[in-house]
Amino acid sequence: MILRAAAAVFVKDLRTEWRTRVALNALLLFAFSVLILVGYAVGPTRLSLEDRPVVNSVLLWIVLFFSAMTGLSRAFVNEEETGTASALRLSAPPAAVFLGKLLSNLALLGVVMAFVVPLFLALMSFGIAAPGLFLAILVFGAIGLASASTFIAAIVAKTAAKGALFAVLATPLLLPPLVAAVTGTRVAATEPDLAAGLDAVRLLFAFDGIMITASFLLFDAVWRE
Amino acid sequence: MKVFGTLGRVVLGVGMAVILWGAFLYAHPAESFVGESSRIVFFHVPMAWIAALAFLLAAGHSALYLKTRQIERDDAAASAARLGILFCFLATVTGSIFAKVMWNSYWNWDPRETSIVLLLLVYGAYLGLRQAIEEPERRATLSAAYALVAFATVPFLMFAVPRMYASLHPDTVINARGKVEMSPDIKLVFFTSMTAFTALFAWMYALDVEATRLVRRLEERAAGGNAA
Amino acid sequence: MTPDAPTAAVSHGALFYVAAVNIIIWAGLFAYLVHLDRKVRSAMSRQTPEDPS
Repeated sequence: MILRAAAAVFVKDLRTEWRTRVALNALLLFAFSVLILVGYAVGPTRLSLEDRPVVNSVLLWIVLFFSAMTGLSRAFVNEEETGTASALRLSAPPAAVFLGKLLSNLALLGVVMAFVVPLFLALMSFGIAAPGLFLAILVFGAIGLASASTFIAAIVAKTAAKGALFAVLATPLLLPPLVAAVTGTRVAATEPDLAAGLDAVRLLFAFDGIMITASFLLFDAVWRE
Repeated sequence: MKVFGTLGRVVLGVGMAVILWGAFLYAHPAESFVGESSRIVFFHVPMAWIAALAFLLAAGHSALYLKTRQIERDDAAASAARLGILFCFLATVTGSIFAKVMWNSYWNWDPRETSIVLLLLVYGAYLGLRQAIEEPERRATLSAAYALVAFATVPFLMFAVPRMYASLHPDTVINARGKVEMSPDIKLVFFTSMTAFTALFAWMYALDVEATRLVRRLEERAAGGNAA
Repeated sequence: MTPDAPTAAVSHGALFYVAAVNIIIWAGLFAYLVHLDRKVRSAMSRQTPEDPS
Protein backbone atom coordinates (compact mmCIF):
# COMPACT_ATOMS: atom_id res chain seq x y z
CA MET A 1 0.00 0.00 0.00
CA ILE A 2 2.62 2.47 1.11
CA LEU A 3 5.03 1.15 -1.49
CA ARG A 4 2.47 1.61 -4.25
CA ALA A 5 1.68 5.14 -3.08
CA ALA A 6 5.40 5.89 -2.88
CA ALA A 7 5.85 4.61 -6.41
CA ALA A 8 2.98 6.87 -7.52
CA VAL A 9 4.66 9.91 -5.92
CA PHE A 10 7.95 8.92 -7.52
CA VAL A 11 6.42 8.54 -10.98
CA LYS A 12 4.51 11.82 -10.62
CA ASP A 13 7.76 13.59 -9.69
CA LEU A 14 9.64 12.09 -12.60
CA ARG A 15 6.87 13.11 -14.97
CA THR A 16 6.71 16.71 -13.77
CA GLU A 17 10.48 16.91 -13.83
CA TRP A 18 10.62 15.47 -17.34
CA ARG A 19 8.10 18.04 -18.61
CA THR A 20 10.30 21.01 -17.70
CA ARG A 21 13.63 19.45 -16.72
CA VAL A 22 14.34 22.60 -14.70
CA ALA A 23 16.03 20.86 -11.76
CA LEU A 24 17.93 18.42 -13.94
CA ASN A 25 19.23 21.08 -16.32
CA ALA A 26 20.20 23.39 -13.48
CA LEU A 27 22.01 20.59 -11.69
CA LEU A 28 23.87 19.35 -14.73
CA LEU A 29 24.85 22.85 -15.81
CA PHE A 30 26.07 23.68 -12.33
CA ALA A 31 28.02 20.43 -12.04
CA PHE A 32 29.54 20.98 -15.46
CA SER A 33 30.64 24.53 -14.64
CA VAL A 34 32.30 23.40 -11.43
CA LEU A 35 33.96 20.54 -13.27
CA ILE A 36 35.36 22.96 -15.85
CA LEU A 37 36.58 25.25 -13.09
CA VAL A 38 38.29 22.42 -11.22
CA GLY A 39 39.66 20.84 -14.36
CA TYR A 40 41.08 24.13 -15.58
CA ALA A 41 42.44 25.36 -12.24
CA VAL A 42 43.88 22.12 -10.93
CA GLY A 43 44.07 19.88 -13.96
CA PRO A 44 45.52 16.39 -14.13
CA THR A 45 49.21 17.18 -14.02
CA ARG A 46 49.56 20.08 -11.63
CA LEU A 47 49.49 17.84 -8.58
CA SER A 48 52.35 15.65 -7.46
CA LEU A 49 51.68 11.95 -7.79
CA GLU A 50 51.26 11.32 -4.07
CA ASP A 51 48.88 14.27 -3.59
CA ARG A 52 46.55 13.21 -6.37
CA PRO A 53 44.35 10.62 -4.57
CA VAL A 54 43.72 12.93 -1.59
CA VAL A 55 43.02 16.11 -3.51
CA ASN A 56 41.02 14.43 -6.26
CA SER A 57 38.74 12.56 -3.89
CA VAL A 58 38.05 15.76 -1.94
CA LEU A 59 37.34 17.70 -5.14
CA LEU A 60 35.05 15.00 -6.51
CA TRP A 61 32.90 15.00 -3.38
CA ILE A 62 32.86 18.78 -3.20
CA VAL A 63 31.45 18.89 -6.73
CA LEU A 64 28.85 16.25 -5.87
CA PHE A 65 27.99 17.88 -2.54
CA PHE A 66 27.42 21.33 -3.99
CA SER A 67 25.41 19.92 -6.86
CA ALA A 68 23.20 18.17 -4.31
CA MET A 69 22.85 21.42 -2.36
CA THR A 70 21.71 23.35 -5.42
CA GLY A 71 19.22 20.83 -6.77
CA LEU A 72 17.80 18.62 -4.08
CA SER A 73 15.94 21.25 -2.06
CA ARG A 74 13.36 21.54 -4.84
CA ALA A 75 11.65 18.30 -3.81
CA PHE A 76 9.36 19.98 -1.29
CA VAL A 77 9.90 23.67 -1.96
CA ASN A 78 8.19 23.22 -5.33
CA GLU A 79 5.15 21.52 -3.83
CA GLU A 80 4.70 24.22 -1.21
CA GLU A 81 5.21 27.05 -3.67
CA THR A 82 2.79 25.82 -6.29
CA GLY A 83 0.29 24.83 -3.61
CA THR A 84 0.21 21.17 -4.59
CA ALA A 85 1.47 20.12 -1.16
CA SER A 86 -1.98 20.06 0.39
CA ALA A 87 -3.30 17.86 -2.40
CA LEU A 88 -0.40 15.50 -1.84
CA ARG A 89 -1.05 15.60 1.90
CA LEU A 90 -4.61 14.38 1.32
CA SER A 91 -3.89 11.78 -1.29
CA ALA A 92 -0.90 9.90 0.09
CA PRO A 93 0.29 8.73 3.53
CA PRO A 94 3.33 10.66 4.84
CA ALA A 95 5.67 7.68 4.73
CA ALA A 96 4.82 7.17 1.06
CA VAL A 97 5.46 10.85 0.30
CA PHE A 98 8.84 10.69 1.97
CA LEU A 99 9.83 7.48 0.25
CA GLY A 100 8.70 8.79 -3.14
CA LYS A 101 10.57 12.06 -2.70
CA LEU A 102 13.65 10.20 -1.53
CA LEU A 103 13.54 8.02 -4.63
CA SER A 104 13.10 10.95 -6.99
CA ASN A 105 15.96 12.83 -5.35
CA LEU A 106 18.07 9.71 -5.57
CA ALA A 107 17.24 9.38 -9.26
CA LEU A 108 18.20 13.02 -9.84
CA LEU A 109 21.46 12.59 -7.96
CA GLY A 110 22.10 9.34 -9.81
CA VAL A 111 21.84 11.08 -13.18
CA VAL A 112 24.16 13.84 -12.00
CA MET A 113 26.67 11.30 -10.72
CA ALA A 114 26.53 9.28 -13.92
CA PHE A 115 27.43 12.52 -15.68
CA VAL A 116 29.96 13.98 -13.24
CA VAL A 117 31.97 10.96 -12.11
CA PRO A 118 33.21 9.65 -15.47
CA LEU A 119 33.90 13.17 -16.64
CA PHE A 120 35.81 13.96 -13.47
CA LEU A 121 37.86 10.77 -13.74
CA ALA A 122 38.72 11.67 -17.33
CA LEU A 123 39.39 15.38 -16.81
CA MET A 124 41.64 14.81 -13.84
CA SER A 125 43.04 11.49 -15.12
CA PHE A 126 42.10 10.14 -11.73
CA GLY A 127 42.74 6.40 -11.70
CA ILE A 128 40.76 4.04 -9.49
CA ALA A 129 42.51 0.94 -8.18
CA ALA A 130 39.42 -0.70 -6.69
CA PRO A 131 36.39 0.02 -8.91
CA GLY A 132 34.05 -2.17 -6.81
CA LEU A 133 34.83 -0.26 -3.65
CA PHE A 134 34.55 3.05 -5.51
CA LEU A 135 31.11 2.09 -6.79
CA ALA A 136 29.95 1.05 -3.30
CA ILE A 137 31.17 4.36 -1.88
CA LEU A 138 29.35 6.28 -4.62
CA VAL A 139 26.08 4.39 -4.09
CA PHE A 140 26.03 4.64 -0.32
CA GLY A 141 27.29 8.20 -0.45
CA ALA A 142 24.47 9.12 -2.82
CA ILE A 143 21.89 7.51 -0.54
CA GLY A 144 23.28 9.45 2.41
CA LEU A 145 23.26 12.76 0.51
CA ALA A 146 19.76 12.16 -0.83
CA SER A 147 18.17 11.02 2.44
CA ALA A 148 19.52 13.90 4.50
CA SER A 149 18.69 16.45 1.78
CA THR A 150 15.16 15.11 1.37
CA PHE A 151 14.39 15.46 5.05
CA ILE A 152 16.00 18.88 5.34
CA ALA A 153 14.11 19.98 2.21
CA ALA A 154 10.85 19.05 3.92
CA ILE A 155 11.78 21.24 6.91
CA VAL A 156 13.05 24.12 4.80
CA ALA A 157 9.95 24.19 2.59
CA LYS A 158 7.95 25.30 5.64
CA THR A 159 10.16 28.31 6.38
CA ALA A 160 10.39 31.71 4.74
CA ALA A 161 14.13 31.58 4.00
CA LYS A 162 14.10 28.22 2.14
CA GLY A 163 17.19 28.12 -0.08
CA ALA A 164 19.59 29.92 2.22
CA LEU A 165 18.60 27.75 5.14
CA PHE A 166 18.88 24.50 3.23
CA ALA A 167 22.67 24.47 2.97
CA VAL A 168 23.09 25.68 6.55
CA LEU A 169 20.97 22.85 7.93
CA ALA A 170 22.19 20.09 5.64
CA THR A 171 25.94 20.71 5.77
CA PRO A 172 26.61 19.79 9.40
CA LEU A 173 24.54 16.63 9.06
CA LEU A 174 26.37 15.63 5.90
CA LEU A 175 29.90 16.23 7.10
CA PRO A 176 30.41 12.81 8.72
CA PRO A 177 29.29 10.82 5.65
CA LEU A 178 31.24 13.15 3.36
CA VAL A 179 34.39 12.59 5.39
CA ALA A 180 33.80 8.87 5.14
CA ALA A 181 33.13 9.09 1.40
CA VAL A 182 36.28 11.12 0.78
CA THR A 183 38.38 8.73 2.83
CA GLY A 184 36.83 5.76 1.06
CA THR A 185 37.42 7.28 -2.37
CA ARG A 186 41.06 7.93 -1.51
CA VAL A 187 41.47 4.34 -0.40
CA ALA A 188 39.73 3.09 -3.55
CA ALA A 189 42.10 5.17 -5.67
CA THR A 190 45.25 3.79 -4.09
CA GLU A 191 44.59 0.30 -2.73
CA PRO A 192 43.33 -2.47 -5.01
CA ASP A 193 42.41 -4.46 -1.90
CA LEU A 194 38.66 -4.22 -1.21
CA ALA A 195 38.99 -4.81 2.53
CA ALA A 196 40.99 -1.63 3.04
CA GLY A 197 37.97 0.57 2.40
CA LEU A 198 35.48 -1.52 4.31
CA ASP A 199 35.50 0.88 7.25
CA ALA A 200 34.27 3.75 5.08
CA VAL A 201 31.58 1.62 3.44
CA ARG A 202 30.38 0.39 6.82
CA LEU A 203 30.22 3.94 8.16
CA LEU A 204 28.28 5.19 5.15
CA PHE A 205 25.90 2.26 5.38
CA ALA A 206 25.26 2.92 9.07
CA PHE A 207 24.70 6.62 8.42
CA ASP A 208 22.24 5.87 5.61
CA GLY A 209 20.33 3.47 7.82
CA ILE A 210 20.10 5.84 10.76
CA MET A 211 19.27 8.83 8.59
CA ILE A 212 16.46 7.06 6.75
CA THR A 213 15.01 5.55 9.93
CA ALA A 214 15.09 8.87 11.78
CA SER A 215 13.58 10.68 8.78
CA PHE A 216 10.73 8.18 8.54
CA LEU A 217 9.94 8.58 12.23
CA LEU A 218 10.06 12.37 12.18
CA PHE A 219 8.69 13.15 8.73
CA ASP A 220 5.09 12.84 9.92
CA ALA A 221 5.42 15.79 12.28
CA VAL A 222 7.16 17.99 9.70
CA TRP A 223 4.82 17.12 6.85
CA ARG A 224 1.63 17.77 8.83
CA GLU A 225 2.89 21.10 10.22
CA MET B 1 9.34 29.63 40.60
CA LYS B 2 12.37 30.11 42.80
CA VAL B 3 15.26 28.84 40.72
CA PHE B 4 17.84 28.13 43.40
CA GLY B 5 17.32 29.01 47.06
CA THR B 6 19.61 31.50 48.76
CA LEU B 7 21.29 28.64 50.59
CA GLY B 8 21.82 26.78 47.33
CA ARG B 9 23.46 29.77 45.72
CA VAL B 10 25.74 30.34 48.72
CA VAL B 11 26.77 26.69 48.73
CA LEU B 12 27.42 26.84 44.97
CA GLY B 13 29.51 30.01 45.28
CA VAL B 14 31.59 28.68 48.15
CA GLY B 15 31.93 25.35 46.37
CA MET B 16 33.27 27.05 43.26
CA ALA B 17 35.83 28.92 45.35
CA VAL B 18 36.87 25.66 47.04
CA ILE B 19 37.29 24.03 43.64
CA LEU B 20 39.50 26.84 42.43
CA TRP B 21 41.61 26.41 45.56
CA GLY B 22 41.67 22.63 45.15
CA ALA B 23 42.50 22.76 41.46
CA PHE B 24 45.39 25.20 41.84
CA LEU B 25 46.76 24.48 45.32
CA TYR B 26 45.54 21.14 46.69
CA ALA B 27 45.87 18.69 43.80
CA HIS B 28 49.33 17.73 42.63
CA PRO B 29 50.12 18.00 38.95
CA ALA B 30 49.75 14.59 37.32
CA GLU B 31 52.75 12.85 35.86
CA SER B 32 52.85 12.41 32.09
CA PHE B 33 51.38 15.87 31.68
CA VAL B 34 53.51 18.82 30.69
CA GLY B 35 54.17 20.98 33.73
CA GLU B 36 51.02 22.00 35.56
CA SER B 37 48.78 21.43 32.57
CA SER B 38 46.89 18.58 34.26
CA ARG B 39 45.05 21.28 36.20
CA ILE B 40 43.26 22.22 32.98
CA VAL B 41 41.47 18.88 33.19
CA PHE B 42 39.49 20.07 36.22
CA PHE B 43 37.91 22.76 34.08
CA HIS B 44 37.95 21.38 30.57
CA VAL B 45 36.32 18.00 31.17
CA PRO B 46 33.27 19.41 33.04
CA MET B 47 32.66 21.75 30.09
CA ALA B 48 32.59 18.84 27.64
CA TRP B 49 30.44 16.73 29.97
CA ILE B 50 27.93 19.55 30.45
CA ALA B 51 27.78 20.17 26.71
CA ALA B 52 26.89 16.50 26.18
CA LEU B 53 24.32 16.69 28.99
CA ALA B 54 22.77 19.84 27.53
CA PHE B 55 22.47 18.34 24.05
CA LEU B 56 20.89 15.24 25.56
CA LEU B 57 18.39 17.48 27.37
CA ALA B 58 17.67 19.35 24.15
CA ALA B 59 16.95 16.11 22.32
CA GLY B 60 14.80 14.79 25.16
CA HIS B 61 12.71 17.94 25.35
CA SER B 62 12.36 18.01 21.55
CA ALA B 63 11.00 14.47 21.58
CA LEU B 64 8.64 15.37 24.41
CA TYR B 65 7.47 18.42 22.49
CA LEU B 66 6.54 16.33 19.47
CA LYS B 67 4.65 14.00 21.80
CA THR B 68 2.83 16.49 24.04
CA ARG B 69 2.84 19.69 21.93
CA GLN B 70 3.47 21.81 25.02
CA ILE B 71 5.30 24.97 24.01
CA GLU B 72 7.21 24.92 27.34
CA ARG B 73 9.00 21.80 26.10
CA ASP B 74 10.21 23.75 23.11
CA ASP B 75 11.45 26.58 25.33
CA ALA B 76 13.32 24.04 27.44
CA ALA B 77 14.89 22.44 24.37
CA ALA B 78 16.01 25.81 23.02
CA SER B 79 17.50 26.82 26.36
CA ALA B 80 19.36 23.54 26.61
CA ALA B 81 20.71 23.90 23.07
CA ARG B 82 21.88 27.47 23.72
CA LEU B 83 23.67 26.44 26.89
CA GLY B 84 25.02 23.38 25.12
CA ILE B 85 26.61 25.60 22.49
CA LEU B 86 28.10 27.82 25.18
CA PHE B 87 29.68 24.90 27.03
CA CYS B 88 30.67 23.19 23.80
CA PHE B 89 32.45 26.38 22.75
CA LEU B 90 34.19 26.64 26.12
CA ALA B 91 35.21 22.98 25.88
CA THR B 92 36.62 23.61 22.41
CA VAL B 93 38.66 26.65 23.42
CA THR B 94 39.96 25.15 26.66
CA GLY B 95 40.76 21.90 24.87
CA SER B 96 42.64 23.85 22.26
CA ILE B 97 44.71 25.54 24.97
CA PHE B 98 45.38 22.14 26.53
CA ALA B 99 46.52 20.88 23.13
CA LYS B 100 48.88 23.83 22.89
CA VAL B 101 50.52 22.92 26.19
CA MET B 102 50.62 19.17 25.59
CA TRP B 103 51.36 18.93 21.89
CA ASN B 104 52.55 22.43 21.14
CA SER B 105 49.82 23.19 18.63
CA TYR B 106 46.44 24.78 19.16
CA TRP B 107 44.74 22.70 16.55
CA ASN B 108 45.74 19.43 14.94
CA TRP B 109 42.42 17.84 13.90
CA ASP B 110 42.49 15.36 16.67
CA PRO B 111 39.30 13.23 16.44
CA ARG B 112 37.82 14.92 19.47
CA GLU B 113 38.54 18.36 18.13
CA THR B 114 36.89 17.41 14.86
CA SER B 115 33.76 16.01 16.43
CA ILE B 116 33.30 18.90 18.83
CA VAL B 117 33.49 21.42 15.99
CA LEU B 118 30.87 19.44 14.09
CA LEU B 119 28.65 19.52 17.18
CA LEU B 120 29.00 23.31 17.30
CA LEU B 121 27.98 23.48 13.62
CA VAL B 122 24.98 21.21 14.11
CA TYR B 123 23.55 23.15 17.02
CA GLY B 124 24.46 26.46 15.45
CA ALA B 125 22.34 25.37 12.48
CA TYR B 126 19.57 24.44 14.95
CA LEU B 127 19.54 27.95 16.38
CA GLY B 128 19.70 29.39 12.85
CA LEU B 129 16.59 27.41 11.96
CA ARG B 130 14.82 28.72 15.05
CA GLN B 131 15.60 32.31 14.10
CA ALA B 132 14.24 31.81 10.59
CA ILE B 133 10.72 30.87 11.72
CA GLU B 134 8.37 33.43 13.25
CA GLU B 135 5.40 31.33 14.23
CA PRO B 136 6.03 29.67 17.64
CA GLU B 137 4.30 26.35 16.97
CA ARG B 138 5.79 25.84 13.55
CA ARG B 139 9.20 26.80 14.91
CA ALA B 140 8.80 24.32 17.73
CA THR B 141 7.82 21.42 15.48
CA LEU B 142 10.40 21.97 12.77
CA SER B 143 13.27 22.63 15.13
CA ALA B 144 12.34 19.62 17.27
CA ALA B 145 12.43 17.44 14.16
CA TYR B 146 15.80 18.86 13.15
CA ALA B 147 17.19 18.49 16.67
CA LEU B 148 16.26 14.82 16.76
CA VAL B 149 17.69 14.03 13.32
CA ALA B 150 20.82 15.92 14.27
CA PHE B 151 21.00 14.02 17.53
CA ALA B 152 20.81 10.75 15.61
CA THR B 153 24.04 11.65 13.85
CA VAL B 154 25.86 12.49 17.09
CA PRO B 155 27.06 8.88 17.51
CA PHE B 156 28.94 9.37 14.24
CA LEU B 157 30.65 12.45 15.54
CA MET B 158 31.50 10.72 18.78
CA PHE B 159 32.64 7.30 17.60
CA ALA B 160 32.78 6.83 13.86
CA VAL B 161 34.59 9.95 12.65
CA PRO B 162 37.31 9.65 15.32
CA ARG B 163 37.89 6.10 14.15
CA MET B 164 38.31 7.27 10.57
CA TYR B 165 40.78 9.89 11.62
CA ALA B 166 42.64 7.80 14.16
CA SER B 167 44.65 6.10 11.43
CA LEU B 168 46.07 9.44 10.34
CA HIS B 169 47.25 10.54 13.76
CA PRO B 170 49.87 9.38 16.23
CA ASP B 171 48.47 7.27 19.02
CA THR B 172 49.68 9.58 21.77
CA VAL B 173 47.16 12.25 20.83
CA ILE B 174 44.25 9.97 21.64
CA ASN B 175 45.66 7.85 24.43
CA ALA B 176 47.18 10.60 26.50
CA ARG B 177 43.83 12.28 26.83
CA GLY B 178 41.54 9.28 26.95
CA LYS B 179 43.12 7.13 29.63
CA VAL B 180 44.33 9.13 32.60
CA GLU B 181 45.24 7.29 35.75
CA MET B 182 44.26 9.58 38.59
CA SER B 183 45.87 9.88 41.98
CA PRO B 184 43.42 10.23 44.92
CA ASP B 185 43.83 13.99 45.38
CA ILE B 186 43.26 14.64 41.68
CA LYS B 187 40.28 12.30 41.67
CA LEU B 188 38.71 14.14 44.61
CA VAL B 189 39.07 17.57 43.03
CA PHE B 190 38.01 16.25 39.64
CA PHE B 191 34.73 14.75 40.77
CA THR B 192 33.92 17.67 43.05
CA SER B 193 34.50 19.95 40.10
CA MET B 194 32.26 17.85 37.88
CA THR B 195 29.49 18.00 40.48
CA ALA B 196 29.83 21.72 41.11
CA PHE B 197 29.89 22.66 37.43
CA THR B 198 26.89 20.44 36.82
CA ALA B 199 25.06 22.28 39.62
CA LEU B 200 26.13 25.58 38.08
CA PHE B 201 24.74 24.40 34.76
CA ALA B 202 21.49 23.37 36.44
CA TRP B 203 21.18 26.87 37.87
CA MET B 204 21.94 28.58 34.55
CA TYR B 205 19.55 26.26 32.77
CA ALA B 206 16.74 27.02 35.20
CA LEU B 207 17.48 30.73 34.84
CA ASP B 208 17.37 30.51 31.05
CA VAL B 209 14.12 28.57 31.02
CA GLU B 210 12.62 31.07 33.46
CA ALA B 211 13.82 34.03 31.37
CA THR B 212 12.43 32.50 28.19
CA ARG B 213 9.08 31.96 29.89
CA LEU B 214 9.09 35.55 31.11
CA VAL B 215 9.87 36.94 27.67
CA ARG B 216 7.13 34.81 26.15
CA ARG B 217 4.59 36.08 28.69
CA LEU B 218 5.63 39.69 28.08
CA GLU B 219 5.31 39.23 24.33
CA GLU B 220 1.93 37.59 24.66
CA ARG B 221 0.74 40.46 26.82
CA ALA B 222 2.07 42.99 24.33
CA ALA B 223 0.28 41.17 21.49
CA GLY B 224 -2.91 41.03 23.55
CA GLY B 225 -2.64 44.75 24.33
CA ASN B 226 -2.29 45.59 20.66
CA ALA B 227 -5.30 43.52 19.75
CA ALA B 228 -7.53 45.16 22.35
CA MET C 1 53.52 9.35 26.66
CA THR C 2 54.42 12.24 24.43
CA PRO C 3 57.76 11.27 22.98
CA ASP C 4 57.95 14.34 20.77
CA ALA C 5 57.30 16.81 23.60
CA PRO C 6 60.50 18.62 24.45
CA THR C 7 61.76 17.57 27.87
CA ALA C 8 62.62 21.16 28.72
CA ALA C 9 58.92 21.97 28.61
CA VAL C 10 58.39 20.25 31.96
CA SER C 11 60.28 22.97 33.75
CA HIS C 12 57.96 25.69 32.54
CA GLY C 13 54.93 25.48 34.72
CA ALA C 14 52.21 26.08 32.12
CA LEU C 15 50.26 27.83 34.87
CA PHE C 16 49.71 30.66 32.43
CA TYR C 17 47.63 28.33 30.30
CA VAL C 18 45.67 27.02 33.26
CA ALA C 19 44.85 30.60 34.20
CA ALA C 20 43.86 31.36 30.61
CA VAL C 21 41.48 28.40 30.64
CA ASN C 22 39.85 29.74 33.79
CA ILE C 23 39.53 33.27 32.50
CA ILE C 24 37.93 32.05 29.28
CA ILE C 25 35.45 29.83 31.11
CA TRP C 26 34.37 32.47 33.59
CA ALA C 27 34.21 35.16 30.93
CA GLY C 28 32.07 32.86 28.81
CA LEU C 29 29.67 32.09 31.63
CA PHE C 30 29.48 35.77 32.56
CA ALA C 31 28.83 36.80 28.97
CA TYR C 32 25.99 34.32 28.86
CA LEU C 33 24.40 35.76 31.98
CA VAL C 34 24.73 39.26 30.54
CA HIS C 35 23.02 38.04 27.37
CA LEU C 36 20.19 36.57 29.45
CA ASP C 37 19.83 39.79 31.41
CA ARG C 38 19.64 41.86 28.24
CA LYS C 39 17.07 39.53 26.72
CA VAL C 40 14.71 39.94 29.66
CA ARG C 41 15.33 43.67 29.94
CA SER C 42 14.67 44.36 26.25
CA ALA C 43 11.45 42.34 26.43
CA MET C 44 10.41 44.37 29.44
CA SER C 45 11.20 47.73 27.86
CA ARG C 46 9.27 46.76 24.74
CA GLN C 47 6.40 45.98 27.05
CA THR C 48 6.28 49.28 28.98
CA PRO C 49 4.98 51.74 26.33
CA GLU C 50 1.97 49.55 25.62
CA ASP C 51 1.23 48.89 29.25
CA PRO C 52 1.50 52.04 31.37
CA SER C 53 0.76 50.24 34.68
